[in-house]
Amino acid sequence: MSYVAHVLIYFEIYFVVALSLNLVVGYCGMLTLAHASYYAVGGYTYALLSAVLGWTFVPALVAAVLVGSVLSLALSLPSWRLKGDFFVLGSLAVQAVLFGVFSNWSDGRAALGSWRNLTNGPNGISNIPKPELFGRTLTEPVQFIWLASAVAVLVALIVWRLTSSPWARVLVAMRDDELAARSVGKNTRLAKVQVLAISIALVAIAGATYAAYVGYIDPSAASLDESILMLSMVLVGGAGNFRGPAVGAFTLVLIPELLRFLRLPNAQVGSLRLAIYGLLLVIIVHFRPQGLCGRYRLK
Amino acid sequence: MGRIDTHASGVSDECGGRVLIRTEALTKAFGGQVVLDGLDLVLRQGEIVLLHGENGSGKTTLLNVLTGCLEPDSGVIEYHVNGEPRKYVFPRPWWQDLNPFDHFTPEFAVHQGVGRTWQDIRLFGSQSLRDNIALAEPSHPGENPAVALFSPRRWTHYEAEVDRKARGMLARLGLEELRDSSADRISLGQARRAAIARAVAAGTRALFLDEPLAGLDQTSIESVLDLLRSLVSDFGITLVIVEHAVNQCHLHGFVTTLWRLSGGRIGQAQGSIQRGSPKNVLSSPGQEPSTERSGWLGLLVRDQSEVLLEPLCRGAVLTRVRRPKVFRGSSRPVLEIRHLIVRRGGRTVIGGDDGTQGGLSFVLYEGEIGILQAPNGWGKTTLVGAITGLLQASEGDIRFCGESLAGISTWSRVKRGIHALLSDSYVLPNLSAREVLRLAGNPEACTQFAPLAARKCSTLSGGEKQLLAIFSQKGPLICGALQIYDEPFSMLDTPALQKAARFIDSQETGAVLVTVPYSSNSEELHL
Repeated sequence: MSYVAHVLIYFEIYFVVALSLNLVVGYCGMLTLAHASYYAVGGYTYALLSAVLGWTFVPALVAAVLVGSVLSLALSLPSWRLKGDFFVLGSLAVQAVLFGVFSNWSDGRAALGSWRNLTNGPNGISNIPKPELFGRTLTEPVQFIWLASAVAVLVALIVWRLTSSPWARVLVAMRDDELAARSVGKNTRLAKVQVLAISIALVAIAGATYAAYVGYIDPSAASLDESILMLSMVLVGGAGNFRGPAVGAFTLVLIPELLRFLRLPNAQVGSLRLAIYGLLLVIIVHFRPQGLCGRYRLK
Repeated sequence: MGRIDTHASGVSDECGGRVLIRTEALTKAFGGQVVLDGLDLVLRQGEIVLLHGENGSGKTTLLNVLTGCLEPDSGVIEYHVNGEPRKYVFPRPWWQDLNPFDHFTPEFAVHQGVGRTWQDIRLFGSQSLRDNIALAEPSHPGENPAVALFSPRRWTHYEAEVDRKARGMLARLGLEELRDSSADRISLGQARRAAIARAVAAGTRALFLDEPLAGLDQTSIESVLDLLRSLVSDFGITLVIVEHAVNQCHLHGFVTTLWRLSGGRIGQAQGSIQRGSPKNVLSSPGQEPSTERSGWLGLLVRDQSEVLLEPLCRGAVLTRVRRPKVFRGSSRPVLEIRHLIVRRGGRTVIGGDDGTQGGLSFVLYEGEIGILQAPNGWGKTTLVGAITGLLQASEGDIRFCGESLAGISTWSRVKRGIHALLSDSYVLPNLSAREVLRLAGNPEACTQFAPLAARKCSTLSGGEKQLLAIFSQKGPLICGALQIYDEPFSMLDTPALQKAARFIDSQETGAVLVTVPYSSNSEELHL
């Protein structure tokens, strides 16, 4: 039961990640590789506030959202000028900078959370307190699943409301033809700032939830591999609609779990997982470029 | 430095409306090539302006500058369209860009009441027609994500009103039944009208139209003109129309003011706009439109040519021009199309749905120029795609020099001698005109492009690119037995048109197939 709950929690966290990334990739057609680093921003913010300052779950989560939104400007401001492949490279630069910060902002002689040792470097932050809600500490996966489900439902509701509003229509117009959208009076620069702030705020929620669940976060959460995994979820599931991220997250969380039953050594499972992502992407791009449930074909 | 002669013909007296846009000493250069040189103009309320000039004279550049899509190098632009006047002085100091409320961009121009349409239409292809028009609604509260998230009731009320307006607009255009159709699945004429409606829905008071009649058949041209007339009479919108010579005759009697942009490099007329009486320019002999009236057809038909008409399915006409000494009799077919049916996404595009159950059939013989005139949406580009192998034929057979092309890839067809210039493919943007011609194996044509040969293709005007693409269809690499030109004349002015027609006529091996939209020129086929 605990194992199923664990897999379900992971699915819910990645569902939130995929939903948030889909706003940028699917609705705006902007391929970003910096999503994992913002996921880690959420995780680190939560970890520092709860482990060092003793904040409870909800205030720390709100702070993670705010920090993520502010830092989203590092991606949204360059996006005013960087288009297509150059935006991808710009996002890669942001990812590299944030990953570098998480890996290097440390000093073994200074206390964790101090100005000299904010992230504890490659060792990461451990002993993050388990969240406490309504007087109960959620220590077991079976207990945590309610929190993860609530977060997933809340984010899904937010995304559903946003994507069924005229705001999403502007995003899709910007994706189809940015200059034409500007020529009917749409401020696409503002739209880019908004969508990246919202998307990154949502992925920061996922990052904070992950840190709260696992109790540990290190720079690997912000790695490029993680960003590619997130992007794979959106592309495999299908960009530009609501079902795609769910299907993508479900597929790519489930596959490595299914591989466990093949009783392969752990080292091979890791490599196999990467090989399968690559193979899946090639197959899907060839046979179903719009993804399993997608309706928009990325150019 | 050129200047507008605003009192040259007394037009300002006839159209003495309120000034909407005024420019002073506008200059714009691309890599040393001066396109606008000290240009002054005044646009008054109620005017219907035809902006014309030769290929490369800077019509599109001027339109881009006036609608905020391109920043001029220097000069002044004043907008007085929507209430408060707004003045932009160029070059702008860098710190002005830091002010988010003081940018020179298309969206700020729209807020000033200045809108535009595009030559290549640019509807939002993945959205429905209704959404394309609803999207243009200015200041929609639902476009604020905070309102969308926390106050859905506020925007849903507003959206209902926007929906009513969008449906009304579509009903006015006769497109109500297509409101839920994806914008990339409607015909060219419908798309052009929808694009105009979208610009109006955005609150435009001065509308700049970039070749609104290009590529349209006669029926669609009438529909677009009806729409433009209603915009003027019902909405009081001021129009500036950029139109190529081929279609200027359709604007006769509609246009009130003419702006002729002279893109020469020397002399007083350089980069200046000359106002004149539209009647004189549109109808005087020797000017562009009257030459265009007989147009490319007159240029392709030599004195002793034999001209045969062959009706095809769904109102299309194939005109065979058999040139003396080139045509070698009907015993040597180059292209044979037998019972061709092409379907795209479940829809039959060519053959099958109009009683011609047997599909499309015709034969083109060696030495013939076949001119295929067909209405928009007939499937001309689809036919070219099927012949070149870019699209799969669903049924029927296409034979080239007696050999069936079934199962033969596009590149093999090119090697066999089938060469096509597609309507949407021009030239390689990062090469110079000289390099493009050398690549195509036709360096002799460089002399015809002497002033432009060194320029990068991306800096050429639409007409110059089209002419260059036509001239690239010749040489040792391209010595095909079948040359296909898909709508090759849509952007050419008279001198370019003559060059293009001469070039096509000079191809004396194999056969030539030219597709053109069905228009009033077809009357002249009955020579």
